[in-house]
Amino acid sequence: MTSSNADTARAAELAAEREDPTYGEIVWGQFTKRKMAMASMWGLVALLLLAVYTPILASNKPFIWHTVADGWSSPWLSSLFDRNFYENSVDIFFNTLLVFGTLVSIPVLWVFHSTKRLPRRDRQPRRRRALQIAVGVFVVAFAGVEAFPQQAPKTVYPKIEQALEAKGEAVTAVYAPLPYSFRDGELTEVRKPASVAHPLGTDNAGRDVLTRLIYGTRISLTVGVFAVALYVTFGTIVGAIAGFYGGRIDMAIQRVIEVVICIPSLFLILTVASFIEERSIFHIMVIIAAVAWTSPARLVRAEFLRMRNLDFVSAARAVGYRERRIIFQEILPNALAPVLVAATFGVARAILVESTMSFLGLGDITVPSWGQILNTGRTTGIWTLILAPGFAIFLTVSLLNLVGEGVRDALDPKLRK
Amino acid sequence: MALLEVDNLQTHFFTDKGQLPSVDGVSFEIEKGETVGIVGESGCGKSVTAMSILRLIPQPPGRIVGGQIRFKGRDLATMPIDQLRKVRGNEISVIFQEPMTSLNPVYTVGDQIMEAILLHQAVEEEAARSIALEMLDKVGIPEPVISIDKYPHQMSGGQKQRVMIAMALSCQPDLLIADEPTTALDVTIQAQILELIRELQRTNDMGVMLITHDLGVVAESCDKVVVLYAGRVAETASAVDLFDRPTHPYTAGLLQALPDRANPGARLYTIDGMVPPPTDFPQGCRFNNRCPRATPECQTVPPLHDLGDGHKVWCHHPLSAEESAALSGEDA
Amino acid sequence: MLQYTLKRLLLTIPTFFFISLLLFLVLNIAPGRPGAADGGDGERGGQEKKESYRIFKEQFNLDKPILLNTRFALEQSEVRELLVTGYNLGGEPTAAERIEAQDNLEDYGNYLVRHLVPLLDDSDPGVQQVAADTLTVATQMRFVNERRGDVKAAREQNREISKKNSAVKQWRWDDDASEADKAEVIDKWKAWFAENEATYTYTGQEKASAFFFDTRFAKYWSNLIHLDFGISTADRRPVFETVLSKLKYSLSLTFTSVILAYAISVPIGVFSAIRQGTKVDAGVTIVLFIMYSLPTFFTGTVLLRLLTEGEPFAWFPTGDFQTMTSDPMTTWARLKDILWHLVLPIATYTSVSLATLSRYARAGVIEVIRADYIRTARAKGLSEPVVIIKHAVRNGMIPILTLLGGLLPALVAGSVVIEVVFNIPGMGQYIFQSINLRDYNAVMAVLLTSSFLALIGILISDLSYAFVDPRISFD
Repeated sequence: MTSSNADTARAAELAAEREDPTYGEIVWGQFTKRKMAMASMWGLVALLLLAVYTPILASNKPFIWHTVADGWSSPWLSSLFDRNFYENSVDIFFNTLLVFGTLVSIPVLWVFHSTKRLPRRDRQPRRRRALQIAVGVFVVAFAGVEAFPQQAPKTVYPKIEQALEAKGEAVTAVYAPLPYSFRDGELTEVRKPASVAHPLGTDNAGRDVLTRLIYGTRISLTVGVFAVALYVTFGTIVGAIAGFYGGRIDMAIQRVIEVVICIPSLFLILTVASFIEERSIFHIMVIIAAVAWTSPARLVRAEFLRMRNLDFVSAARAVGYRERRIIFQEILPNALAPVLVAATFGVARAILVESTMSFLGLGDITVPSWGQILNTGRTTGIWTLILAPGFAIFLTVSLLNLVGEGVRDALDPKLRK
Repeated sequence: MALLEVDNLQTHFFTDKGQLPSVDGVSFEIEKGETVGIVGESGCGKSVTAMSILRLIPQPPGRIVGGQIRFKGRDLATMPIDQLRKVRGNEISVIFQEPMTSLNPVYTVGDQIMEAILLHQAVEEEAARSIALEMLDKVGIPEPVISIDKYPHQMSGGQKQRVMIAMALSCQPDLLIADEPTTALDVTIQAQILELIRELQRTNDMGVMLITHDLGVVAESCDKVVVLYAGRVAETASAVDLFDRPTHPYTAGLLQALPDRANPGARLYTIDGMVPPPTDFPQGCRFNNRCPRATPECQTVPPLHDLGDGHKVWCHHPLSAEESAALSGEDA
Repeated sequence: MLQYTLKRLLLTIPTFFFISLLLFLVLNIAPGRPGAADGGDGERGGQEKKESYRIFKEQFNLDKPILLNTRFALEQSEVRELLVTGYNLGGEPTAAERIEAQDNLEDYGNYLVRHLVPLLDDSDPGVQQVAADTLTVATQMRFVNERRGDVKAAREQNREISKKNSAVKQWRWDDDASEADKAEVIDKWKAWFAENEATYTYTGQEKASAFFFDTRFAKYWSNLIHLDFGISTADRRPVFETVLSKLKYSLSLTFTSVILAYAISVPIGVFSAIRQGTKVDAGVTIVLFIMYSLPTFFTGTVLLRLLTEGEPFAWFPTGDFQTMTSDPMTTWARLKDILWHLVLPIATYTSVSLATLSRYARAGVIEVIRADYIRTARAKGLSEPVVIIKHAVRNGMIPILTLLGGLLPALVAGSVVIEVVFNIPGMGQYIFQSINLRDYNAVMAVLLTSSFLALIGILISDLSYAFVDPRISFD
């Protein structure tokens, strides 16, 4: 018995309908089969949500405020974009995410859900469009908020409330669970131990520790993600050029990489950080990126060196593709696997570096970075100030490492499940 | 008593997908000085059979669950491990399929050969080295004095396989297990290696168990043939008998599929279907879903037919003498 | 092999050149005014600050142009411009322009002299006055470097220079000076210039030499080759000696840590690999993972607080390298004392590298154990321990050797945290203190020294890799 031509054609039809998975889908499938990695990923999502929705948990502006004189208002809502209250761009960014991100995510999720059953040809463009519009709206919103900064007078609502109540006036105020500011403390509340009101106590300036810890999440995540995005992009391009062209260009780039690697990174980071008078998160991200780009550069270079002699590259050349296209569209997608793994671990490392810098006093002093809190704990001897941020860092770094390992295993063809 | 008697060997693998009966009741014998070929398609269990003899199966998933492996009367399957180690490399040696990766890259070729000698024989290093040199010479490595200090990556595939043979034969074993020794090599080298094995076998009166999927190799080198299918023996015969009188439908199919048996320009014969994975072995006769002669009766374990002269076949509907003659008759 | 070693050794020279170039560039973006850490502003301690800044400027030749020097080509009109702008004698310059002109006047130094003297006869009396003022500064001679060559002769020379400098400093006049006084000063200058004119006119050769070598970069390199890193602005002592004295503390820490890390990680890795999948393996993996994810400053701080001050335990001393007493101690006792002090720092320091190495060792052995040549080794009849140690480990450890190269710079850098937390007077603590004090001489010295050490470390690692793996070819 032999197959006939009709049978073969029929088999091909069936295969096409079945929609064989793309490489990305395979990798994602492998990732989802690993429980630790998935759990860690959800942990990270939770952390991200925590960072975004921080003001809902901790803010000394009440959600709802009513006095006879002022009527009804929501100081909390108007404080979100108030530059006097949230001085840092990072906070504004996350607050924009809080408001606009939440609003925009609802239609996006609906689009994703409603397109689940469609064939890939129809599904992908619709989903991509939805995401693009969502990102576009967010960017416009953020640009608008940054371009037209609001500045409201500094009102400390709890104090006003106390004063009014002392006078016997009716005040209605609904606060977040932790009605504290992360920056200004009550000098009467210095060094209080843990209690129901202050679950982790207060620090030596009377600030609630838990509030600062939660706001610190924003700093760590921002530094980690953006520093990594920066240096991975740069390092990938450099590595691609070195690996693809080889020869003298490669040798030159390799020398540069060697030079940068030899200089102990933390020394250099601290030195350059000290040059800057008013350090901001942005400066820190750039400094970290300037030292860390060599790692993805080497990885990508190795991949390119390996792949540029493979047949599919020769085929692309034979068809007449220009070099830029070959680099970015043919080889690079294949080279990204180790980079993805390195990037995930890189976020963990960046967070560790940033907290080390803050610990040594060379980070951004104006924000509640975990490292800085830990340093205060070290010098004052308050245990919660040592353990809480330490645990926070440990948790974040662990989750990132677990996800990184999950991604690495998911990408390894030898470990297919 | 034969040199090696494999009696109903069963080696199973215990994985998340279940218990896989990769070798499920294989029996055959090897006499002194005899070359026995173990033949079958990929996945039929021939490598597992070979590795089982010296218990080289990776232990976590695999295990010998039944049967006996009698070597010079002693059962290797249940022998304590330290005694088995004295047999390994000494009385029974193995050479593997992939010469490229079977040698340790950080030690010289000479070191690796001498390691076996020093382990099993009571000689000094000097003596071991001269034995190694002698072996390298015997297997045809040029300039042994220089080559002995070379690293594996400095040699070609064919040379590495020769080194493997030298290493295997350095202690004059009584049995050599050769697991597809030529599959990874060029055809011309293939012939040389096979010739080499034959020669060394003659001088040492060694038994050889030759695992292969290539019937051409079988025809050229083997005295006796064991045809494996899906973990069981389909047919056993002398080489001559196997090619002249194939009795099992599987054997017949294999022979029919050989290109040289086809008429020029005619469509090549293929056995319908694929070798089933150990998770999916059919009930009864494992060939029943691909056999052109299958009947409902084939759902039960096939009986043994002994055709005399060592020719045995396990089948419900073996080919008759005329049928098999018709097949081989095309070859005249 | 020898060829390869030589080649690599030779390559380190250009690499180190580029490292120093990079650090040079980094240094040049440092903001001026060290001693800003002395706190306060301007007046209080102003003289002190100006002095320390001058030392800094001189050491790093910040008054010179960076790469190429064309100041010998200054025109008189340009100099007059500078005087006018810098001292606000006309043209309404902005504050920034004024400061820039003043800085230039200060920096151009000697090259201004031959133009300033004629300006003493300028039509504008204001210009005359500031020309004289500027002359008093521009003719100040530099002291000879006492740290190089014949120290005694250098000191003699410097005494001479000092005398000449103080004499010349007086030759200026205040706003209320009489015409007679003015004329007197001008005459002194002219006389002086007649004597010294030769020094301030430049031959072609002098111009060419100045062009290339009277620059920041050239002086930087010349200093480097002579291992002259200058004086610390903090304690006025030569920096290089300080760095060397701190080096032994850091090295003992790093060295011990690396050895410990490798010694422990290999057995752990092998053990885990053999017992892959068992509960013990899972347990070890978890512990290693925790060690890997804890920041060192956290571990250090916690250990310090927990085990040293008596709340609850006081097993170890609260930092430092050794007990500071004047009682003589035997070598053995001193050694024990040091070890007792170093337990916690080394434990903290080693934890991260230990965790990393163990994981790589484990992965390496796991991968190797599946290899064909391991099966060959077993088939030869070798016992399991021999198979593992002689065949598997030997191959599996090759990757972690290469890690050494990347580990060393990281370890050197990580010493900052350990030394600050545990108060160990090593290079890490030194550079941290120097950064805070804006003592850039010290910072540069530490950066250069540690980079050099890291370079050597990487070199050793590469060579050992080539030594261990015969597959590396040397042609």
